Amino acid sequence: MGRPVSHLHAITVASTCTPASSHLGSGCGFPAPSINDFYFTPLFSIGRFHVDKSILIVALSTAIVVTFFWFAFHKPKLVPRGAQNIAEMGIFFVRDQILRPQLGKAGDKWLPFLTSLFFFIWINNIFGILPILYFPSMSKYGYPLALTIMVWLIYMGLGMKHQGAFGYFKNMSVPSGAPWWILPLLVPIELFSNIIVRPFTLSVRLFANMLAGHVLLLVFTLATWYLLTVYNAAIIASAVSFITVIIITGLEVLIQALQAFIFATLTANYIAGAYEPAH
Amino acid sequence: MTTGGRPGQEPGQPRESDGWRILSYLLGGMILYGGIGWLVAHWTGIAVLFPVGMILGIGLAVAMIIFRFTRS
Repeated sequence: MGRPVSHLHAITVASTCTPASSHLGSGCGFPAPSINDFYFTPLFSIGRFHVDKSILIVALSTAIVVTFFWFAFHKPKLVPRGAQNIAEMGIFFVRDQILRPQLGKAGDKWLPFLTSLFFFIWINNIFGILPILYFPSMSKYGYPLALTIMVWLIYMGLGMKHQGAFGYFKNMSVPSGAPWWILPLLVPIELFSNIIVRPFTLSVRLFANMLAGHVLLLVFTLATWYLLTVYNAAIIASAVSFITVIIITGLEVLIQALQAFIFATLTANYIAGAYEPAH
Repeated sequence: MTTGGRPGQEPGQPRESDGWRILSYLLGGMILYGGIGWLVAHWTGIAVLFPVGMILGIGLAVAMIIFRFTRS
């Protein structure tokens, strides 16, 4: 009597496992999404610069935002209609919900920047649930990082301009309300928190939400396909998985708008902090 | 940017960004003093300094949050 061969060992892992070929017979197992799903083969290259899907999406959303607002306001009318009406609603939303609560009326000159920021991030995120492209480019850390560096440079520069380089660093390093004898221990935390942690969390919040959302969608989309091809009884599980995909997609719509909103709100908050020291 | 608080905002009323600030204090305290603790532990070989630094950092961050948000 020979040694029992484990069924698992008997299955040889096929060398060419794609999500589409993953069913019971292929021996591929469940094609769990991995970090490789966030890297794409370049569409084309300009010299050593490779253009892939995420760059395409960023370029596309920039073009959409610019074209839409240009189209809406190239011949502005006193009584707004059509695209101008929608664009004005968007701008008023940014002004009343994001800018005014943080910066007040005097901060209205930041409206173009915050409007662009909000709509750029939002449109970018929407590509995460748009069929065919189906990828939120903000789930690659470089993009939120670039936005954050821009915001960081703005509020650091603004703070030094309005409070003076020394005064700004004093306000950024001395925590309010603390007794003097504990200050030597607290100053490093305040400085570290203001200069590194706050901008870092700003970018990570957007990046992590988009990454997690995309992985979640991938897991259940792949599960729907995999369970459908495993064996007949799993068709119910496949249906449940498909319903989950729809529910998560709905949740993603909410999160995409919310993350763009939070990013713009915190940017406005940091700019406000550069004008006057936080108390 | 306007003096004396922002419009529609009572002084001393919590703002939505306060929550993020508290989070950044906790993270900052933990990472900074945990990092210092880790470095010193690395150099001296006293491994316990790393967790001590982290806990000290969190403790200081909590103290800072109390100073900032309760005594204004």
